[in-house]
Amino acid sequence: MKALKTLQIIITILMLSWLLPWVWKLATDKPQNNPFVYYSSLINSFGIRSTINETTLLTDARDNSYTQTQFDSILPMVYYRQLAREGQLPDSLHGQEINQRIIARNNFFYRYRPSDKNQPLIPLYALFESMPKRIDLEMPGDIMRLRKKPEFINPDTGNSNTHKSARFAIELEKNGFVGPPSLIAGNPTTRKSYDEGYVIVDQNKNLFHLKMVNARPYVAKIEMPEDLHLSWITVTEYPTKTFYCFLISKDGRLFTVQTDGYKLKEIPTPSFDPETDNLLIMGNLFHWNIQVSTNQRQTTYAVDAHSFKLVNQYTFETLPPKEWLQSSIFPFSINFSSANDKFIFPRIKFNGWTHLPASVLLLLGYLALQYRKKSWCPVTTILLLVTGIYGLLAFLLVGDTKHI
Amino acid sequence: MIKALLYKEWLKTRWFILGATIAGLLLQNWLFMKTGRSLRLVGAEHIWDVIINRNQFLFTELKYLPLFSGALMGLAQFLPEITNRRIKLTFHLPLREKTITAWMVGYGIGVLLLLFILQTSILAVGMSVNFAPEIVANGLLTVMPWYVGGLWAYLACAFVALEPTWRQRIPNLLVTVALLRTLYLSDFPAAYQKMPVYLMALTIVLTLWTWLSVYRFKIGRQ
Amino acid sequence: METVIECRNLTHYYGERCIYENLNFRIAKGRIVGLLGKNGTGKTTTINILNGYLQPREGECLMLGHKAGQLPPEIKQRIALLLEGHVQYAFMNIQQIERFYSSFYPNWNRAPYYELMKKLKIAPGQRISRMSCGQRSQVALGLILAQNADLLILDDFSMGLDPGYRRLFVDYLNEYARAENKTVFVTSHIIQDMERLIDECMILDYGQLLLQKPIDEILNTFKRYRIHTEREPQWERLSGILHPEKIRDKVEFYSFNGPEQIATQLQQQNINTEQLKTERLTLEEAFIGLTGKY
Repeated sequence: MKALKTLQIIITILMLSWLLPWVWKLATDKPQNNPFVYYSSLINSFGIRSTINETTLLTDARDNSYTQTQFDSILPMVYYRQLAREGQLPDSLHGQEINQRIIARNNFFYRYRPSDKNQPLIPLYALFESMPKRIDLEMPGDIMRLRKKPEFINPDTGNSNTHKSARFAIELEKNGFVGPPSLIAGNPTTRKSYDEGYVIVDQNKNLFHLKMVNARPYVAKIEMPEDLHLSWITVTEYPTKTFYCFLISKDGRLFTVQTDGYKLKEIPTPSFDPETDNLLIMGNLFHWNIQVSTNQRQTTYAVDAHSFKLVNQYTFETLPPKEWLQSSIFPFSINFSSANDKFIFPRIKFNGWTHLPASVLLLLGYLALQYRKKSWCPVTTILLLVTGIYGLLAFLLVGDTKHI
Repeated sequence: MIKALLYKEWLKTRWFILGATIAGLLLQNWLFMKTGRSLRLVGAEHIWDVIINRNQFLFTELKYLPLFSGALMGLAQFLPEITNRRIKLTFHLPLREKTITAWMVGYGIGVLLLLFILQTSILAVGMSVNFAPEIVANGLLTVMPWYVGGLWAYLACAFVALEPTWRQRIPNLLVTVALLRTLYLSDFPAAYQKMPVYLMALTIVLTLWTWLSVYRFKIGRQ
Repeated sequence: METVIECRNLTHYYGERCIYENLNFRIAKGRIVGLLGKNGTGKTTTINILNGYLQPREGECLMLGHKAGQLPPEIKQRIALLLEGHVQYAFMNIQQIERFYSSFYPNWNRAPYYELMKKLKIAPGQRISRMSCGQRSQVALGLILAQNADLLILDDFSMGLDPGYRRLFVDYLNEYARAENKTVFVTSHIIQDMERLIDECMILDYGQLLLQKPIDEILNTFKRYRIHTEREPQWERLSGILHPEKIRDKVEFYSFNGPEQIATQLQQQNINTEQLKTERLTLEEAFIGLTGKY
């Protein structure tokens, strides 16, 4: 019976450590405004648009202020449409002809969040025809299951197309593919300009490119350094067709696989943990802005779009939220969800020892009260010291193990 | 004697069992009709695409059915016991209190498990007709916390109802409601797939807690 | 004599409030014992302790030789229980409830149950919840009789019953208990009924057991006295006088002492006792005499 009561107290404490910090956050949290940072090759610095107290500030990394018009003109790759409308878009930049079409074609926007990777997936894949007879992509009419061997299933009947499955199986095997895959990436949507199929890591950590061309399998093995362990792949299918995909390694390195002979090219990236940090790449004709956001800071690299050399960098330190009050009240907190994944499971976060003074005070209060009542419970005392306010509230709610 | 004890539980819950079974069948029937209609109208490939790539679950209407089933089962079984403190009669029956409690709660869990297994079997079989096993498995993982929610709601009712004092009943209610809330935190399909151990452990704890309430009743907390 | 119920040094408090301290009593086999007391003197508390629904702060109770609260099933089989308000499984009908209970008790005897049920004007299959209070009391009584237990514990059996049903209940129980040599322990608010039923009486007052005596002994020895006198006697010099009251020149009091002893004591205070009246009491009057009107 004591054990059951203890369990009741502990579970009450755990529920409180989930709900109270949540209520606290609900009552106190403020928006986190990270600035928009974009490299300007015209001023060799970053244009920064930040919002402080609901006013927008336009500056650069050297603290010069700009008007909106000035800001537009230092970032023509961002505001080219605005500039074009006002007739302010130059004909050429850095000796390269530019116009709206060229800029739009070369601009890309790539975002990676840890939750892209950490979420429940259904391992079925639509493999499109990469050379459709008509301009637009069409749904393939079947769906690929890729385990040891590929299998194409008709959703209407549930039957598999054995002929097609066998043809793809032979082609994959010929290229050394060993299923089932450990990682597979593609964009199974018709709302893209062309299709590059799937990029796949097999059982032996080899990298493959699989697509369907004229109803036939196309498989290519992509050479990759032995020590490269991939965490995530994004097939890009950008209009410029210079690379097939982004590869993110487990240690936070970033590569592109070039369309030119499947060569890997490493992209300089700020220190990056694919499990917790967000990655944002804003590319244009001349430079890529590679931005990594962690809880503490947002670092932006400007990288030359041709040589991939680091040109400039800017770090914005995120103001640490004022958590001292919270952590001096709450010894720990439990969360069931996280921005970094789509799974639900309990995760406990300890807030260090700053809660000790408050916990000791609560404990003294408890002891004084119980001294007068002449009933003192050692288990409650320990729980109070370790769990602070949660322990006290649990005691008030469900009592202690001495009085069941 | 056990047969008679179960007979009493049956008398209390037979209308609930009939109602819950019919409600479940009707709801599932409706959901399958709805799915069938979508399949006819927009085609299987599109529906598969929506499920696989846009994280849609076709049977979200099932979400609170087990919860209500469990809660109603608990009320059907334990409300008649606590009105007029009839539980005193039950515990005066010539069986040990632990035996009585275990059979009563066991009966409730048994009935709910049968009901839930029936419902999930129909769901699994019905989904298998139109969808790949991967999609069916994902669907079952999606409904898992909901059905666990049904069991927890039942056990919570037993725990709260059998507790003899209001002073303790309210905290018990709050804690069990908080626990139940943890099962409905995400609508993302299969989001609870890492949770089976947590779900199992707390199911056991909640089952045992019933005995905590009975014990408090036995020692005469008022 | 075999002891069926025994309570030793029973002490119970609700929070700070003392119900009783060091309560001791025993009930012998074959006796019909009534537990009387005003509201809040701990009648139901005692029943709850006996049945194991309450742990006393101190002391213990033995039922058929086993500690209350830890009765093994075979002892529980020998004890029939009537809860306050004739509470029963109201969602059953009379056949269902008989079938239900019969499998718990090896000596189950359905005849008296159905005999009583025949007297009730109820539809077959009518649920107990849809019966009147009186009808329900007969169902509860019938079940207790059918159980054929050695010890019957009845908590406030007269509550909510009209006089007809009360009489029916008492007569039936009385006849049954005496014929089968059952031990019965009852509490009731309505003391008139008890007089027809019980042969021994326990009276609880706040915090203590006032007395436990055979009912004949109480009615034969406990008397009310009346006398006309201008002068109020000095009560503190008298012994064995209970609840004296003086309204104008009328003096009234109760005592276990005989009339001669009372007269002698009053004469010592120079009170004329020629008109001293001695009155035999009903149990209800005796109860008031013992516990006071307030």
